[in-house]
Amino acid sequence: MSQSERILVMAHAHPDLSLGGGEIAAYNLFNAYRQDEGVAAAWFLARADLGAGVTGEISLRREDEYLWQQASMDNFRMKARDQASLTGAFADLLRALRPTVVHAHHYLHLGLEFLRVIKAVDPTIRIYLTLHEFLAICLNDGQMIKAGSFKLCEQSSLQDCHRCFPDKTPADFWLRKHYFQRHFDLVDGFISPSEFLRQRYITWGIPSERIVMIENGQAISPKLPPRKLAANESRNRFAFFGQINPYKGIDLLLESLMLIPTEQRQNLLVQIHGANLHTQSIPFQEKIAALRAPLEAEGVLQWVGPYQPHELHSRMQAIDWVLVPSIWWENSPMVIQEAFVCGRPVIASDIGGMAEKVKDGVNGLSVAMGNRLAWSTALQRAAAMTDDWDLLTSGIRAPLSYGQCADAHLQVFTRMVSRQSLDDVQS
Amino acid sequence: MALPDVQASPVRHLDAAGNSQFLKLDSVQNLDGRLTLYGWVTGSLELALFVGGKPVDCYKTTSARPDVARHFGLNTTTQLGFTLFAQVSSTQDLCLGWRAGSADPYILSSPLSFEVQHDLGLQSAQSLPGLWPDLPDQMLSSDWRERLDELAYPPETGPCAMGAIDKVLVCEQTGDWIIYGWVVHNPTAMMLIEMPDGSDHSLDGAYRYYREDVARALGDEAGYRCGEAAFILKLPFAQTSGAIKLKVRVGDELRYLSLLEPTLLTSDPVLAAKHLLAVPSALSGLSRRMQRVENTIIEGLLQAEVSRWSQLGVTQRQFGQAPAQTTLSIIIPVYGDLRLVEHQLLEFVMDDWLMANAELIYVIDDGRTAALFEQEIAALHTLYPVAMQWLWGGAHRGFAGACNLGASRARGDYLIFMHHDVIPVSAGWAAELIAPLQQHAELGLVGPQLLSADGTMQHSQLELDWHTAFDLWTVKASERGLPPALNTRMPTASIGVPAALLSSACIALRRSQFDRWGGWDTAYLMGDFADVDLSMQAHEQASQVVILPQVVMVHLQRLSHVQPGAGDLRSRIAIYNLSRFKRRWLGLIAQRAADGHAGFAMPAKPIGKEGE
Repeated sequence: MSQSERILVMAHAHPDLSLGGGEIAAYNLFNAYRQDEGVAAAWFLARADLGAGVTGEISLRREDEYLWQQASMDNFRMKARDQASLTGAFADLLRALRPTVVHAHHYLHLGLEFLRVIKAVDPTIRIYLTLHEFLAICLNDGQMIKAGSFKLCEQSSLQDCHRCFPDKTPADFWLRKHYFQRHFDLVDGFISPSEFLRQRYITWGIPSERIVMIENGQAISPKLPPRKLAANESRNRFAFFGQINPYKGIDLLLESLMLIPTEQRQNLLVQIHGANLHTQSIPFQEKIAALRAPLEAEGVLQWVGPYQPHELHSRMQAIDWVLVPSIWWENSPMVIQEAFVCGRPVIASDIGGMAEKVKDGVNGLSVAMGNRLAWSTALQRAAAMTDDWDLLTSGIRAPLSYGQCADAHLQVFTRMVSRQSLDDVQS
Repeated sequence: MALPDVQASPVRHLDAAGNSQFLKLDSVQNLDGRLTLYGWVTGSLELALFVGGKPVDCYKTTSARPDVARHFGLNTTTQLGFTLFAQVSSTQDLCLGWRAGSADPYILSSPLSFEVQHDLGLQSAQSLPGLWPDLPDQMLSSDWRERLDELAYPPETGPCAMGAIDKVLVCEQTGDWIIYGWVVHNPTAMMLIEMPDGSDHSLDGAYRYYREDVARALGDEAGYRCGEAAFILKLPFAQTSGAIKLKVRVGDELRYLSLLEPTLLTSDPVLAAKHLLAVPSALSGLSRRMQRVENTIIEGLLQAEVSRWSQLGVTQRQFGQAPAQTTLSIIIPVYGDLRLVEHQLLEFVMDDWLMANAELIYVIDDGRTAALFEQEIAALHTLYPVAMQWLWGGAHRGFAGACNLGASRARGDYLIFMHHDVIPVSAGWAAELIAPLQQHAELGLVGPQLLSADGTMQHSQLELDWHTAFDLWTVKASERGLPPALNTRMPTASIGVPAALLSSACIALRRSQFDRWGGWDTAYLMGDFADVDLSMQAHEQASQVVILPQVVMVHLQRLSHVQPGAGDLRSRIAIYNLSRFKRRWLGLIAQRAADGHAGFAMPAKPIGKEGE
């Protein structure tokens, strides 16, 4: 393969400074591009807050990696706060690097105008945008949950969005969508890490032929050996990994545990490997504290706490199941892919990106979202498994590696040289 | 125990027999130590004034207070009102005292509050009651006495008329005085307005209307005519200052009721109209009232304002190079929300034909945002390289005036006027709008299908609708809120849907015709209804007006034409504009209606002459 592509990867954050799923995926892809034979050069440009305010300056982080001190005004208009650097520092960087492809992950904190500047600097630069959530569709932090409640939202509309945000008129929401869509018109192709998210954007207005699904890549290693069981022991160790916030369903998980009769409950162990509870609201923190105390006293619950990415495999070694009890749609939760890399089946809510990745009875268990009784039953059922767990483990398909993920993207870039040719890729 | 505050609320006095009397002090005036206290009492309490705890000499008169009597269910002719006069050297701890009988001690009020005046302003004089006693000479100085005499009624005759001048406005530009007030009088009394030069004018030419507050306060006093107590009188008068007086003549006897200095009316026609029309009278008679009072004033101010515009400097900025051959000029007045401009640019920049053939002219019509717009448009132009100029005409000109300013700088043979909250939804819209004008000489105006943000039609047609209650045509939006698929006014001609009227939200026409018609009519207040007037211009010139349903644009402001029935100020202005529209186009509308042209409705009964 000849080295033809010069790829600038853009992200809303740098993993050196922030450990969100989107920026990690973007950075891993950047490194994979650099190692790919088909790529002549690759760079990483991440938005950053370096404590100096929104200066608009672009600075070097390390070789081929840049930081842009940019921010967006708000999630409603999604305009860049530093307008001058769009046609200044950013345009200069484009002219200097001369990318053939800009692969953007997210536009949060960047604003949408950078898409327009790319085409203004060089209309032949192809833009691909990976969508990590529903921010264009939903003003409520892109969650597609009704504001002020945890009610799931199926589809945006001018009137419904106004009901969630009464200070904005339906006409305001028309303007917001108009602004997003006209900027998305400049994008040559969209990538979605899940089919669920892809379908949501198709319903919203992106033509189906312009958006493809490529799962996030993972660092592939052999599956971890199953946890060694003692005599008469079953697969009764569970763990939650990730951020702790009201959308992740931790409170639901703990309440489900309480529904299990005490005698049976004491046969299982749940670990929480979670971070950032202290940043949540006080009522939420108090609720979690009240729920965890009796379970910890019983020895059913272990609050392990945050972890670094390199610690993940050792922590998964000690458990049998990974729990994803989220009460919002999720997109393509990284933890599901990580669990599969480690050979751990997943018990997840049966909606959105979780339902897409976790197939009940194939690679895990699918549980009714938000249903404490169902979760209670599922935990008891899983905790009693031995051979069935082996079957589920064997049903796990290895996720894409970073290299495979990069190759899939490069195929898209190669074959989707224009919007019209996206049909070919889809086929 | 706190002393009763007789100025704040009525004080109840309970005598030994258990009978209640109520007492209230309405106002206290202090003119250099000459005190006048006005109030009412429902019984026969003895009243006195105290300074520093000691009684001072005072003189008391009484008058009827029908409002108080009615409230307490007493005979309305009972003299419940009182006025106390006193001249004092000190007002330290000035209190009102009262008692039921001479054997009782006085009950004192809390210290009275008042403002000290150093001369008798006309407002003070006017506020004095209509009945005046013969005051003891020692109570009053001669100058005050003289002024009071002017206003006095002899108490022995009783009131045969009451009234007041509430407001006097002077319009310097038109030389008109507008006098607002109310009168009630018995049939033998003749009410007169005396101008500063001494000339008398009857109220016969005034617009008269019912005033609820007057009727409630005075009720059905014997001999009074409260039905249309209020009046608005317009009088031509060369001076701009001097007191104006309301007086009553009964036989040979002449008495003054009220006098007032005038206030200058602003020369800003919109502000002036708001000021004039804010005086409430029934909406159903507003058109007749305007015909008698306000119309010529507002028209005069609008003409003066338009003349003033021509003397103002125009700020102009050009961004980008306009096409060498400019076919089309798109003129967009901007008032208020600037963020909408970016949404238009989002569309314009993606329209290849527009970029190659059209110039964009933004006319800022809002002094509050002119400077900000200059910064915003410069920043936007770096992202949206559309050739454009922006203009600021130094004054808020309204939509029509701003359009005319933009047109004066336009180079295209075709013009599109549009609101800044109208957003095209696909490229090619501008070329499509003017194509019929290029091909069909019989066409005069072309408009798009306007949708609301929710995708429904703002209207399939704008039609004239006769409003019986106001004797005016209003503009009716047909099929508003329906999906375009339910449009029953589908094309009946090859070049679009014939229309009676077009919305100013977006109108395309030839430059030559625009000039021939004299541009947008600036004599409508706030630009409302100038669009329907432009449509009538086209009809008058036998030019066809059409809508192209295939050209779709989103108009974010759902209501463009204000309806007259709401009763707010905006609807009063709408009545002004609709009255003017009716005067101008009555004949042509009747002719169109007789020809069976859709959208021109005539009333079932003949239309009366306006003002009758």
